[in-house]
Amino acid sequence: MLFNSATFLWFLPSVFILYWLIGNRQLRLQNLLLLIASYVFYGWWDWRFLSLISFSILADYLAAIQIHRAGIKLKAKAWLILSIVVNLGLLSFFKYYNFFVDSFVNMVGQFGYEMSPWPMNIILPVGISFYTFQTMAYTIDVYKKKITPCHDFIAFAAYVSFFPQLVAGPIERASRLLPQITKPRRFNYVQAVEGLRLILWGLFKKIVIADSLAIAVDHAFNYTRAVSGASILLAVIYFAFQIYCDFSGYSDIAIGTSKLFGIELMSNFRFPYFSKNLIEFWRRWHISLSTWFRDYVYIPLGGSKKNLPATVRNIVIVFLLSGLWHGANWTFVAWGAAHALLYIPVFAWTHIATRRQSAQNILRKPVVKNITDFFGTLITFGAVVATWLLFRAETIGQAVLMFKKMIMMARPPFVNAEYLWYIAALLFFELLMRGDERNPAPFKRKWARYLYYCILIYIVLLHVDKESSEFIYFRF
Amino acid sequence: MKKLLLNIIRLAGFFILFYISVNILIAASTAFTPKVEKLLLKFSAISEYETRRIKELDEWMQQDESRKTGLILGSSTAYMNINPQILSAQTGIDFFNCGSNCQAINYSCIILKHVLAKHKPDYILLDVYPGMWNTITTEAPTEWVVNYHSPHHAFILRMVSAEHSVILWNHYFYSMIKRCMPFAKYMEAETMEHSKYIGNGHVCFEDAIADYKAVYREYTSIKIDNAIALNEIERLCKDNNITLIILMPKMINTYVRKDIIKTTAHFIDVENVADETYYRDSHHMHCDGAERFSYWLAKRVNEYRLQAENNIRQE
Repeated sequence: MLFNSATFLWFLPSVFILYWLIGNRQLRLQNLLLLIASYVFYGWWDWRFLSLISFSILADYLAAIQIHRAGIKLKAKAWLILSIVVNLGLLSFFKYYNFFVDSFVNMVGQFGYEMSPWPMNIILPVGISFYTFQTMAYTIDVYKKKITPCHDFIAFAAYVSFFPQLVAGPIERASRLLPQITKPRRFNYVQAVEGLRLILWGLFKKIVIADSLAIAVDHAFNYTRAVSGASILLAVIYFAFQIYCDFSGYSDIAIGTSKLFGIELMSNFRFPYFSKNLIEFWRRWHISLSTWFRDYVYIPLGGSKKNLPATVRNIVIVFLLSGLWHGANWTFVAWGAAHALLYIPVFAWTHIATRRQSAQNILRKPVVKNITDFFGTLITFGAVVATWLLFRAETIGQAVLMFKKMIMMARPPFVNAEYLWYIAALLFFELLMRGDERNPAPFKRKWARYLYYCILIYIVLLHVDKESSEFIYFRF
Repeated sequence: MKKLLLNIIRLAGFFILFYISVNILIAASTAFTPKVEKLLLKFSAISEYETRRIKELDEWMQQDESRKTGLILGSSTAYMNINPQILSAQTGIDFFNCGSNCQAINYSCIILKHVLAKHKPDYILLDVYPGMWNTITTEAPTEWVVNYHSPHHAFILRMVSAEHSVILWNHYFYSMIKRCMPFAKYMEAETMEHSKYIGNGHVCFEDAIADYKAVYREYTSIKIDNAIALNEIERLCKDNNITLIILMPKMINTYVRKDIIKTTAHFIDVENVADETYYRDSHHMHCDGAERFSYWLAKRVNEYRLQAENNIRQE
C-alpha cells in the first residue's frame, strides 16, 4: 500500500478511529491493532512476504531473549552471530543473489573462463533492507546490554512491523521506539495536528515536486544520447530534488502517521541541501541510516579514534557498504565510493583545522548566515549533485557518457527548464519553515495556517495522478 | 479527538470556500488572459479544433432525421486517419468523425449513448486502436469536460465518473464554475502546427514527420472495462438496428493480437492497406494518406451497406 494511494486514504482514518476508540488506554489492544494494521498494510503489496517478515520477527525475538539469558559471553555471541547471519542471509539472498552471481561470472570471464550464470527470478521484498537493519540493531543492542529484550511478542512484532516506517524507514532504534510501544498511548491533540500537518507536507513534496520532476528526469535518463549536455545537467539537478522530495516526503508522512498513533519517530532529513560541507550533509541526509552505519559499523571498526589511515579505511568501508545497501548494482557502489572520496578531504580538513564538532553543534547552527556559508553550500550541493548522476544511472557507462556530455556540451537549449519553478516553490516553503523540519506551517494566526493548508491541498489536488507512483526508496 | 474532528470539518469547509473562490478567480482571469488557467490547470487535452468538432456534432445530430448517417468513434487514429467527407461522398451516408485523443472503447460507448439519445445513426465505424484496448486515460474525458460548453451535465458526469481521477474531477468542477460565469472566455483551441480542420470532425496533418522513430509494441490483452464496453456497443447497435463495423488500424512496427476482440460485428483489417507513405508518424496519417485510405475504406463500407440493404430487402 502506498502512502499516496486512494487505498491509504481509507486505510489510515479507519485504523486511526479503531485505534483510539477501541484500543484507547488498553496497551495490548493498541499493539494488536497496530500489528494487524501493519500486516494488512504490508500484505496489500504481496501477502506472501508476510511469512518472511514474520520469520525475521520470530528469529530476532528469540535470539534477543537467548542473548540476554546466556550466562557466558561466548554463548551470547553465538546467538548474536546466528541472528546476524539469518538477517544478512535473507537480505543477501533476496537482494544480492543475482548481483553476486553475475559479478562473479563476469569476473571469472575476465580471466578467460566461460561460465554460464544461474540467475533466479527473485522478487525483492519491499522494505527488507529497512526492517532487517532495524532488527539487527535490536539484537546488537541487547548483546551490548544497551537495552533489555522485549518479552511481549505482540509489542515486539508491532515494533518491527510498525507500518508507517516499515517499508522505507526511518530505521528506528529499539531504545527509542520500543519503550513507546510498550507504554500505553493517550490521544494528544497537538501531536495529532502536527502529524496531519507533516502528512500534508510530505504529500506535497512527493506528489507535487518529486513526481513532477520525475518526468523531466526520466526523459533525460531514457534518451541520454538524444538530449543536450545542458539538459542532462538540469536533469541531474532535478533528480537531486526529486529524490530528496520523494524520500523526505515519505519520511514526513511516516513521522506524521506515527504521531497520529501517539508515537514519535526520529527525523530523517534536516534540510540537507543547505549543508555547508559534506560532513554536515551526511548529518542531515537519511539520518537514520547514516547513524546506523556510524553506530554499528564505523564505531565498532574503530571510528576515528585510531590513526588517520585507519579512519580513512573505516570511512571508505562505511560508504561502500552504504552504497551497496541502496541496491545491487555497481552504480551504487561507485556512488558510495565517490562520496568517500569527497568526504575524506573534508573530514581531514575539519579534523586538522577546526577540531571535531559534535553533530548537535553543527545541526544547531543557522542554515546559511554569511557569504562563506553560501559558497560552502553551493560547492557541497554541486558535489552531491555530481554523485547523484551515478546513483540514478542504469550503468556506469551511462553515467560516464552523461557526465562527459554534461561537462563538454553544457550549452543551451535547456529542455524542461520550466520545472525549475517546482524547485523554487520547494525552497520558498522550506525557507518558511525556518530550520524546523517538523513544523511545515510556522504561522501563529489560525487563518494564516488554514490558508496555507488550503494552498497546499489545492496544489496537491492539481497534481494527483490516477496511478500513484511508487516511492524511489521502495526499491531499496 | 472531538476537537480534532471539529477542526478537520472546519478546515474542510474553509477549503470548499477557498476552492470555489480560487476557481472563480482563475475562470475570471480568462477574460483578460488565458495564461493563468493554462499554467495552473494544465488541461491535458485542449486538442486541435476540439470545441468546434463538439459543436458540429450537436448540429450534425439535429439535421434531417430521414438521411442515412454514420458515426465514426475511436481514438486519434480515427479522427486523423478517416476523412468522413470522402466516405459520405462515396457511400451516400452522412458520416461524422467523433474520434478523440485516447478514446478508449468505454468512452466510445458513453459517447454513443449520448448520441443515441438525440439521433440514431445507421452505421457505426468503431476504430479500435490496440493501445486503447488495455488502457483508459483521462485525455478523452478531459476533452469533453473542457470543450463541451453546453449544459449536458449527466453525459459529462458519466464520462468523468468512468475514470477515477482527481485531476479529472478537478477539471469538471472548474468547468462547471466557469460555465456559470458569463464573462469567462473559453480557450481558443490550440492548433497544432501543420494541421488543418477538414470538416465533419476530421483533422489531418499536412506533411509527414521526417525522422520519427517507430517503436515496436505488442498489444495482447484487453481491459475488462473496455471488453464490457465493446459488448455494450454491440448490444446497443443490435437493439437500434445499427450496422457496427469494427476497424483495426494498422500501426507500423506494431504487433497486434486481433483474436482478443471477440465480436460478431463486421471487421475491417487494415493490416495490408496503408504502407508507410500514408503515415505522418507511426500512428497517424497525413492528409493525403487519410484521403487515399478513406477512398479504400469507402469501398469496404459500401460492401457492408449493400449487404445491409439486401438484408432489409429480403426481410
